[in-house]
Amino acid sequence: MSRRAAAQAELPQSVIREASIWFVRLGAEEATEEDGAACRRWVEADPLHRLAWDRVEMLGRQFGQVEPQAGLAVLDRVPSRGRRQALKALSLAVGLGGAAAAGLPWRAWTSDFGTVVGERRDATLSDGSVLTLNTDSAADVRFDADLRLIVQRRGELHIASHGDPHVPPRPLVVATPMGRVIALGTRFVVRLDDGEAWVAVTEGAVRIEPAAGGAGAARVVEAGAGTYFDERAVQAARPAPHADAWVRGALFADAMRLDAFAEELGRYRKGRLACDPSVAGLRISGSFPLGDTDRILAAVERALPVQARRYTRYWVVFGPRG
Amino acid sequence: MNQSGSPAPVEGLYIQHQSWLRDWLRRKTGCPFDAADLTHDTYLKVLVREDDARTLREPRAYLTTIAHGLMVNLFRRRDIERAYLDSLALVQDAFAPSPERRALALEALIEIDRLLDGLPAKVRKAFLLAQLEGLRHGEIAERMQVSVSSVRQYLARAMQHCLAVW
Repeated sequence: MSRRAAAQAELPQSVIREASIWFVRLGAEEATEEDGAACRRWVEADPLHRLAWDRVEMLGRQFGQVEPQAGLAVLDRVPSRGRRQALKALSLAVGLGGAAAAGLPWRAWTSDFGTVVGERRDATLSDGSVLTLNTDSAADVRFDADLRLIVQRRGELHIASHGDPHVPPRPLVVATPMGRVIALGTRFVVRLDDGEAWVAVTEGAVRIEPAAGGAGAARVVEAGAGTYFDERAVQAARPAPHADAWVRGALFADAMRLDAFAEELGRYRKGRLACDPSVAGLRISGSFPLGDTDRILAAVERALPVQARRYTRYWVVFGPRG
Repeated sequence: MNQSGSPAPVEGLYIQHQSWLRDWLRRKTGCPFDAADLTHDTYLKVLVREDDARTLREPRAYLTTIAHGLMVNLFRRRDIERAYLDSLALVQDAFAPSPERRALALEALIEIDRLLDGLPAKVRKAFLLAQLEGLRHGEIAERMQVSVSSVRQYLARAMQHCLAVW
């Protein structure tokens, strides 16, 4: 509705063109902070520029309301259909809607379970175990007579395992590209990074078997500890007291460097969340609710002498204040 | 009495043409309930623009133009809603969005669909990948098998289109 009110003003073609150029320039991989500052100067130079940019951002927020896969399925179905043809298309769509949607590549949903960026979900599995997926994660659940197998595709998951009602009890195993993580009655987290996986245990223990390491490479990790492993070896375990904070919807930081914090928080937001080198070494502590990452940005601004500059919805940079 | 030429206030428009308009809409939509709703909505729109109604030369053409636009919007809306629900049907129940999120998403989809209407397929695709998935220009180029500079032209064109039809 506020959008309707703002819709009264007509934008000149030249302003529309300039705003579109800024939109593309700021979205480019090679965009610098100078580009961001230059865009801000353009926006502030003229109320019509401001109005055009508000609309660019409003449109971005509209897109933000839609799950990416659903958005693609709905908006990319029958491209460039004019409104005049909508009626004709409708008669076809009535019969074909389901089939057309089913033919799409569902990257996030071909896995049995998946989440999009910023989302967190849990599911109770057939044995009573609870699988929780963190932001932008996916896993397939394959239980059979011998094994409770969870194939982790991407992202991060937490398992609160339940004693198997099946007789005899089947092992609960998380398979990753780097190797297997076997539950020994337990709660634990597995996270896939580039070329390695992180495992942290909050209750009980797990056994890690690197895929190409042979039997000698296997290690047991106990509650309170976490470790990285790759295909060949498991690193030495280290204390990991808050590794499952995200399961309760919190991002936990204990004197964390701001650049590391930005990287971590960035997992929960689409696009880029960067940190200017001049403030990268500042330390931040606290437990931040992940439900609204914009509020976390504001909390960081209150806690530290920094400003979160928003160049676009997909590009935020922590920089010095002022 | 004044099919053309003399002034036609809204009351007259209503008395003389509403049952004709409803029949016309019933034939078009094949549904008496939709026809009744759309007739009502059409006169609401006419009321809002009363100035125009007084100088109408062809009141039935005027009414059907408005009614047709409303009907297309209604069907388009249902079409989008159906496609959205179809897309959700593929998601595990445990992972389906809440009713509130669905309602917001549906409104957003309808508005975005209106803005994107008429864009060529590639332009639309590039824009959707950028806005929905937050993909970088290079990633979009790879996904679509086109050059990065093409992607940037598509994105600029899509944004210009949206701002122009806002």
